[in-house]
Amino acid sequence: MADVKKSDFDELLAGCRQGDRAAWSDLIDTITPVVFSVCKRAKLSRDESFDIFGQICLDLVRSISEIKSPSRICAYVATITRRKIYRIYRRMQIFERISADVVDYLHGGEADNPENSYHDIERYGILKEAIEYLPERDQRLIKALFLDPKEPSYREISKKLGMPVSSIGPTRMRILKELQSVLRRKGYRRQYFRK
Amino acid sequence: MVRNRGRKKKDRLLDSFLKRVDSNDRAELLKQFKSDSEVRCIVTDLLELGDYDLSGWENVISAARELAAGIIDSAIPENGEARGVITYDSKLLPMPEGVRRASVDSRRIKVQVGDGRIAISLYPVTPKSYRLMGQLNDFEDYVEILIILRISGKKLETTCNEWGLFEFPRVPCGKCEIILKQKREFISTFELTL
Repeated sequence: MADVKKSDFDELLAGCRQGDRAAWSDLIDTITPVVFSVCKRAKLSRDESFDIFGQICLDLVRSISEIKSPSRICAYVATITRRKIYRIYRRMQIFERISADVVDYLHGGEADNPENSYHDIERYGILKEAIEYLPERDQRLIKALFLDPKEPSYREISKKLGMPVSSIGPTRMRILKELQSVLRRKGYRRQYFRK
Repeated sequence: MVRNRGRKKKDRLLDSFLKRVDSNDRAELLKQFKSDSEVRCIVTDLLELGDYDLSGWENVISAARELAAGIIDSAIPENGEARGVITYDSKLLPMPEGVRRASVDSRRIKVQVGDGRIAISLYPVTPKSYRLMGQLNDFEDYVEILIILRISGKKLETTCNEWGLFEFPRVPCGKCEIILKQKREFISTFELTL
């Protein structure tokens, strides 16, 4: 992710308006997590998120001269992403199949704070790195317990990993404690938990 | 209000996770969560992270960069010519972990042409050629729209039907240029590599 301070956004957008490819590259790096974070909260698949991302990039290229507050570019991108998704869902007439909190979110029921997007992405990045510090066997258990979309039962995990069912619970807790100490060393602080 | 909504989501996530464990385990876990809220938060983050392919985020970023670079190059006209912009290409999107793309997989592309959009599907016919099917969307009308495809010195032409559908049954591999005209007037052009 590009490390762009809010005060640099004026310069960044000025560069983009002049067609500076390096400025565009930095801008894209900045807004990419925002777009994908909004798509994730709207429960879009990866394919759909990628499609939306392309449309947002094009919208940004076309409207770059009209953006009046460069320092709020992330909030602007989050808003146009949400609106685009809302229009798609409305056109497809599938609101009744989407949960109420997603509809509410798309309709602007929750104030967009792009800092939350960075927070999420940063936290997940640290979490992912911390998992990779664990021994291979512990990583496999963490992935089976928390990250497998099929949500295997303890019996299925036991069979797959060759460990007794009764040991999964205690081992899980030991691994979480280990993960906790790794995360603390990597700067995953309590402040992140207040949301 | 935002904080309450966030806590409700965490509670729902934890609840769904706790239902996956047996009752003894659940009681033990709840006891531990109460004594160590940090672990509770790590667990909810792990569950949320499960929505994303764990190792896929960097691949998505890299694919997004490549897509964006193409969009910027096409959308910033250098000689004033109206060009179509490829805003989606399934070939760029990384496969989920452990999955390999099959050579017979179809490829989907979306191109923005002014206010209209073209959805293109490519199906391998032979190892060196594709069937190209396209759908025009959001154009003012689909009357007399000519689609010209130039590749390897050849020129293929077709028109779309009243719903904007068109097809090229066999297009050889390579870099091609697609030109759209309506009633002999130029609309747009874009390039595609098959």
